[in-house]
Amino acid sequence: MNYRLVSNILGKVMLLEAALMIPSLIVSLIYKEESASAFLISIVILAVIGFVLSLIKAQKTKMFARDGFMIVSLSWIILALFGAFPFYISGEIPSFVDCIFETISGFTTTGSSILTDVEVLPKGLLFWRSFTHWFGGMGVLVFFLTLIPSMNGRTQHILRAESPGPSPGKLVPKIKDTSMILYSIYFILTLICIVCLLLAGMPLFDSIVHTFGTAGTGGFGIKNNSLAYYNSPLIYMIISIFMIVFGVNFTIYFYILKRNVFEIKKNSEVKLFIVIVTLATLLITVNIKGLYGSIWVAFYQSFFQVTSLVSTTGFATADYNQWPAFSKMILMCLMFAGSCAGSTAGGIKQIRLLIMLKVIRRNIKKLIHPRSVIPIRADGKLVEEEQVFGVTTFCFVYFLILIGATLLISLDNHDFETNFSAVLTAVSNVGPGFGKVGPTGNFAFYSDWSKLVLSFCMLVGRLEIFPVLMILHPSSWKRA
Amino acid sequence: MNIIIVGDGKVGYALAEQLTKENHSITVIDKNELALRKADETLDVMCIKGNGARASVLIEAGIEEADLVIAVTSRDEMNMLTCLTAKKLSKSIQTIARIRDPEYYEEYAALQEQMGIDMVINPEFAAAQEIANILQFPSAMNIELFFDGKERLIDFRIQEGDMLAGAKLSKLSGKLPKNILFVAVERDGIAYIPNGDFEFQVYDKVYVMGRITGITDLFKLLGRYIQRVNTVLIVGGGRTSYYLTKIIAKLGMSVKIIEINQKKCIELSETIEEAIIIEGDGTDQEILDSENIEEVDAFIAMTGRDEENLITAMYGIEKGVDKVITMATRIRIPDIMNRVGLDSIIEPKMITTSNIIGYVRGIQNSRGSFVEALYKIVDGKAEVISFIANQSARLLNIPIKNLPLKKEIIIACIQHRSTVTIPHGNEKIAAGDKVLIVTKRSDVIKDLNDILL
Repeated sequence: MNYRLVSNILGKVMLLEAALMIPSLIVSLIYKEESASAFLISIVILAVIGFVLSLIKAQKTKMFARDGFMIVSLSWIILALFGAFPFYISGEIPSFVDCIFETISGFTTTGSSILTDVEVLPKGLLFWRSFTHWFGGMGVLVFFLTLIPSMNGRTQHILRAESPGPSPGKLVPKIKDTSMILYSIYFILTLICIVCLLLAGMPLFDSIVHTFGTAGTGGFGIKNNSLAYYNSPLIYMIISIFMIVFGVNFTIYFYILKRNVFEIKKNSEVKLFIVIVTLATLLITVNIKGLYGSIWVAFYQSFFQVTSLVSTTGFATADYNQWPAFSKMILMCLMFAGSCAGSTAGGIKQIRLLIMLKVIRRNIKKLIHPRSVIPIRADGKLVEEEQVFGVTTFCFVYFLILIGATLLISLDNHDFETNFSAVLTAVSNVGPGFGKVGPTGNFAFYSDWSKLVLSFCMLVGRLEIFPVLMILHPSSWKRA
Repeated sequence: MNIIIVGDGKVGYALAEQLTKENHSITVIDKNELALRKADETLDVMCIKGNGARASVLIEAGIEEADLVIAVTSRDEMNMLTCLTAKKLSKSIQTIARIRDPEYYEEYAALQEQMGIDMVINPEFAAAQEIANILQFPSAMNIELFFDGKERLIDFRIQEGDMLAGAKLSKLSGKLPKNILFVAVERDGIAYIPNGDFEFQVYDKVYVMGRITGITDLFKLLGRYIQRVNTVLIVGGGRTSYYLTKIIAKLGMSVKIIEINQKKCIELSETIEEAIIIEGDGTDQEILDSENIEEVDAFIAMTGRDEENLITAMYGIEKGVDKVITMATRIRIPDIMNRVGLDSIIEPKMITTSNIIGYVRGIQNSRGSFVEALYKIVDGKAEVISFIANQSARLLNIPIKNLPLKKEIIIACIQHRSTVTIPHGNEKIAAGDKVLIVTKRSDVIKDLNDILL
């Protein structure tokens, strides 16, 4: 690892995080809250350490894939550690492990919380919590790339390590321009969402905070019973639709802007995504109709829960713990799947599912015609065998981590449904699970050990496993 | 500009590397995944896997918004087809194609007119031309021509005992020929633009601009003048040899080519009447000796293998040949090669790249920038830029010595109407003059006014 280069960039990332805290500081000041001082102290700490680190100049500026992965993973750990400061310094969350859990949950757009009563938290901290969703969703380093002058072509490695999906690509030749386009689309969609919520009658602060949660597909709410508080089908529908919008691959919006119908039509991932959402919504509607009496209520409750979980957001308008087993099972499957690559959502991603399904079909065909040569295609394009292998490995490691982490947190001796869904919800960056961690519950009852394991799972899920696993490998810490 | 490069080989990669540095948006197309991966991982470019001659691939690469397509795949037909398709898809696009096959290249005019290829580049021909230039002035290591060959930029290495070694430039001015100018020095891989206080050291590689008479005087002064080349021995009968023979035979040099492949020998003997073709292994010292390597004026090693060229060329030096030229297609170790005495190295890849880059600069120039042409020297570490001084230039009619120039910038040459002068201080630049600037900082020099403080 190129220590100097990595330190330099980490320093700059910390300066960026200091800057990211400023809006929350302003919110605290507007509401005249004591948490303002907590933000101020955190900003000063970040700025000082960041400034010192950024003074380290790298002699070799060549960045290799390894450095890119290291930078992304370490940056995220640092973001989480220092992002926890405002919670801790203000004293609102007394345990530092809880603070870290909450911040990682924010940046990784998970939305799981250890807070038993959200509503008592100062507005500034609530804003910061949700703001981490917004930045974490699109990627802090992707934003970072729009700021720094394109050093060389090698910053590509950063973009690739942070963006979700098996093969994140550029939209335009320059990385800087690509990051810029992605963030512009993100920003504009966010604005539209805020305006829609305002028009639907939500207060300004609530609209902004909930939009952050929707855009980043995070799911931190500011009410104890999440969105159910507003009890407005209109708000539910707006958020449902935007959760889908933010769960779709952002390149689609780029092509829409460019009026490139051809590229949009051939995107099979988005098609699969829409088919899955429709199917799941209909099945659950029929299944829960008896609970709600009216088909309309059953429909919008089903639609909201489906979009919330498939986009790995995790807002809730109903306690789906009370739903029939069939509906719960469908919801759990959605938590596995997640949304499209290149969106702000988590999960395995639809494109990987698509490729996996095709691999399975190929294996069956091969049994029938052992000598047949069957390439795997997605979006009309050949998927390289190496990529297919990468996807299968990814899925396997995904399950391995699920099982391993469940084993680790079982030490707390909670029931299986709770433990397994807690890990699944963490790795897929969803938020709520089933059982005690369901939409009305929270993660406060877990031990510190389990909270750290779950925090690790969230990070692993957000950075798509391998960058995080890499820093655990001793040879990545060697200079040569 | 938005530039599409089709073909991610040696030249394609070098072009992408240089053009991204100059802040163009580059899209690279290639069929080979492995080649693309390298570009993708090390350069800020977009890579597309596919056949660059296909309309759909070019559309995916954004042909509608592109300004230039450069086709440098290994196949001439592919390159031509790519340019043709590109022109059909976008009316305003410019195209550059690499064409190697002499049969196509001879129809240069037709390629440009009928197929709409704006620039046709033939690496072998360009390399042959470069070698021919050196052979015409063998004292120098490498030669670059400016103003239709009126002025030359040559480079040589200072040897122990040279009068230049250890001398300050200001002290030397009385002793040196008048119409030459030291424009750049390379020492330990770093380029310097010398001013009066600059002190030369042994093994410095010095770049001198001047007329042939002035440079000849300089070499006579240094005791290094090599007589005109009359006999040339070439190892390797590739396309460069073919072009080279065609060029230098007209200049009255007699050429011998040693080629190992019998079929090639027959082909060569049919197409070249001017040379003696010898079938044999050019790396075999026995054959070189029997062809009297000691007696030839110039020895050129240009087989398809760099390693063979290196070894053979070293044998030529051993035998005391005055001028030894080596071709390096793949190996890029000019410093090490210089150290063992191989100073004239021809790199077709570099030549092709710099020719194309010069053309790209030309296009950009027609869109507002005032750079007329750009040549890379000192292994790409410094540039010679030519500007046309227009009325907006702030340095008109002021004696050059009074101009507040930025550091590390030299005004190397001024062309006023048809007379070219090497300025020494009292010359003035008039509107419409062509001015050559030598600098290390071409990125910040976009206009003639940029050279002033």
